[in-house]
Amino acid sequence: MWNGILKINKLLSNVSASIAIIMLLLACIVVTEMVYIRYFLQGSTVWETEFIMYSIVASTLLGSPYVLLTQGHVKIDLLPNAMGNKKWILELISSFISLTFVSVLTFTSWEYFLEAYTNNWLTETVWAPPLWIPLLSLVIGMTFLCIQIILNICSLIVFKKCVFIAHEEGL
Amino acid sequence: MSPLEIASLIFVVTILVLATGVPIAFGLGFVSVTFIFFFEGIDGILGMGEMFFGSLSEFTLIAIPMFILMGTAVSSSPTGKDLYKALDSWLYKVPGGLVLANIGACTIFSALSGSSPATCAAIGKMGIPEMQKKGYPDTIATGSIAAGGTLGILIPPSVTMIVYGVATETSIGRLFIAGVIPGIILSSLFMLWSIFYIWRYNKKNNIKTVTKTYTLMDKLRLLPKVLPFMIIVMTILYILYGGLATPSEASGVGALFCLVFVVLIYKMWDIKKIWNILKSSMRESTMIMMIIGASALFSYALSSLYITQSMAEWIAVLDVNKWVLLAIVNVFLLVAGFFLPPVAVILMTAPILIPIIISAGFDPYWFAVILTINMEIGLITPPVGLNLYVINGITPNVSLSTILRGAFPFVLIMMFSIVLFSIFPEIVTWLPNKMLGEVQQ
Repeated sequence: MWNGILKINKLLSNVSASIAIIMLLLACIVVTEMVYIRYFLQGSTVWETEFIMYSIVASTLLGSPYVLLTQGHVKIDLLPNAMGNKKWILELISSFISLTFVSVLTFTSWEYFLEAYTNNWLTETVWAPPLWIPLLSLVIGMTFLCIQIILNICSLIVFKKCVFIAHEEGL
Repeated sequence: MSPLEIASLIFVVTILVLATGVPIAFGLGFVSVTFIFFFEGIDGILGMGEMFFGSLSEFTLIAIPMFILMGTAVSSSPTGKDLYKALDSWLYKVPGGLVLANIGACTIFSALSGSSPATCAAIGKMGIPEMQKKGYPDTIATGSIAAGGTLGILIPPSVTMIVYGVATETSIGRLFIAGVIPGIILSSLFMLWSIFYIWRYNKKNNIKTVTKTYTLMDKLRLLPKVLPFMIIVMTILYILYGGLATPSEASGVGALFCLVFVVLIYKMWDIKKIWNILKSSMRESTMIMMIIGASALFSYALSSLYITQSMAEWIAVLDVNKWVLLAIVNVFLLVAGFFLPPVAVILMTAPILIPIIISAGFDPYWFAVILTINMEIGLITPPVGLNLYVINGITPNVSLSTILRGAFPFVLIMMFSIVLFSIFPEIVTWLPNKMLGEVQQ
């Protein structure tokens, strides 16, 4: 049962990260297209700036659970490494610290998203797409992140072992 | 509680929180959320989601993932190796030519990648074993690459400079230009020290410089592989200096071209390899962007608790000599750099330091260079000198203490350069002033 949950978590992180990678590549291509239209064809660009900006935001937020899963978020691990087999205690404390922040972020993000959705807010540009679309990446990313930290806390309490994996094992 | 007391409390809590090994982004976010909650109540934290999202939705930030992508694409191809081989074929007659080729390759590679560890890894993988094979002592072989790699964040494009520009609302293009001359000077000083070291080493051990010859054909053979990337570097610099497009735009085009060139020149048709380049870039940029988002909350907390303003006033009241102030700031940055990655140091300290530095009459662009060199020192000093560990990873046969001994003279050179640029700030400000005009303070 537990392994099944971890597998689903890994799958969700991987799917989310794959979308993040595609958004990154898309942003890169659209920047080039925008530069081409703006500087070579002397044309005007309407949707590109915003699209690129939100693609990068989405790439960051959707990629974040995967980066946590594969331990890519930079941290100072001098003290945890010096703790030997008691390392899990510090990992538990740091997971609670992470959870406090991420859960506040998740809750307030959902509120923001629902408000934008129900009031049909648009972004303040000429293109003006509905704001809830880019906000979707915020709520999805933060919710996955929250779930992952909770899973890690459970694993640390029960098995004294964290659920995070090496970079190579992901995707 | 007075703002200064709250500031001290935040300082202590932040250190304690980060020491638990929590990801820096989440640690900073936690400190911001808890302090705002305690001092302003629940209303204070209700806008966190919106603020976090808003801080990431900045077009200027695009340059970070794009330059990371550009650097990763180039690093994961044999460009570093070819660059180094090409330089070696031109420099082999100079004593210590191989070290010079390595530092030179690091310098040029820095202009393709905004990251120091990436520069270190790309050049070191080939360069260090080659230097060891030719009988160069391990200290200089590893130390020169560790130090040469740090140039990645000084020579444009530099991810650290972009983050500084975002945090201090200064022009990124101007910051990039400000890094050029100091970068070249540092690189030259590194080379001078290496020539001297090798010359002394050879004399002491009675070693004759290894003679080998390269024909003109040898020298020209590698150029076609290296030239396209040099053209990209030149084009980006030209675009930035000419003000033809913004750094964000230049970064996107540069990234796409580097990716395409890597695929075409090195025949990297394997989709998995391209996917891995994109994946590594996404990982690194997500890590940095999350710290940027959390730091925005952190600086919001500092300013809404009146800490930023009070600190600046407090320093003004103290009325210390501006050079003493700068020395204190330098020591503080050095210590912070020993423990934290450059991006985190800049984002955490900029809201407090910049008003102080500007009110003391220093140029914010000049300060960016001083700060960056401080961060470079942090990259090659323990306990968290990232470059040291990168080198240790590449050459497991060389002990960390040998690498440290090799890197130490370069640390002194960097400290010397800070003093030099402080006495003659024109070295830093001349080029940006000449190209973009003086800054209106």
